[in-house]
Amino acid sequence: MSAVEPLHPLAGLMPAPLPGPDPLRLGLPRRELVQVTARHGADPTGLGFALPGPGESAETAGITALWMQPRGWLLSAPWDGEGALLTRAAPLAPAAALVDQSHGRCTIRLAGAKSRAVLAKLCRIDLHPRIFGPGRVAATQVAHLACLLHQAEPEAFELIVFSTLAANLLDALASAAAEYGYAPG
Amino acid sequence: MRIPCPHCGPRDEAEFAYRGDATKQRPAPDAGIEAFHDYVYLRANPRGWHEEWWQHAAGCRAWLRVRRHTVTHEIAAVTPA
Repeated sequence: MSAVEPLHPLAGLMPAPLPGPDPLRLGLPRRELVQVTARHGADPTGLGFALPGPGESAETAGITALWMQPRGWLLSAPWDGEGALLTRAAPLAPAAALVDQSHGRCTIRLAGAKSRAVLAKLCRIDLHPRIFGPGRVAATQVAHLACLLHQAEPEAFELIVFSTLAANLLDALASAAAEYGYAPG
Repeated sequence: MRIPCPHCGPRDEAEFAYRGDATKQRPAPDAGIEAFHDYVYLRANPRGWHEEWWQHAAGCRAWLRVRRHTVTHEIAAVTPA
């Protein structure tokens, strides 16, 4: 196995802070990600909580399960060593295929009062609280990139994208946030 | 045009990939070369209602059978494939 890579793929690419009236906080949380795809006719259980339905998320003991597609989910947890989440997800294995995506995909977090306004410039779905809200998940495009969009808190969103394309997304977020300002955080 | 995905709700057409005519049925293995030629190459180009495959490629990846009006882009029915 290759050397452990503790850094976020975008660690060196975070733009310098831009002062503004209502700065967006751009974060690069290092997460482990495991893709769960149910086998035919099987019902993946054993994590101690039910995997969520379409457009929803569920969280227990530091693992967040995000609905990604019919009978497919993405598990996310804070970085705890190479393969740690895959080991914790092992009880699902008889009923589902498990793939570690911790290096293939990465997470960008944006928080602040203007986070929804910034995303509204880049994606086509309705993020208004009457439709969307904390805990909701959407597999959609953000800045033309396929993205798993998760509203983690009332004013914080997490975007999970392919690591190889994430630098473009970070650029697009910074451009869209320029009128409000941004800072790492 | 927006397509109401049965899993994700209404989404912009840009998230979907057109996957062809949903009315075509593969002929029996012994149906002959003419039947297979028609199956592979011949397509109607209807003005009006049409059954089509669309894949929610940038969303939930599901294949959907969509009944769409080719003039107005009205969508009458969407069912998972």
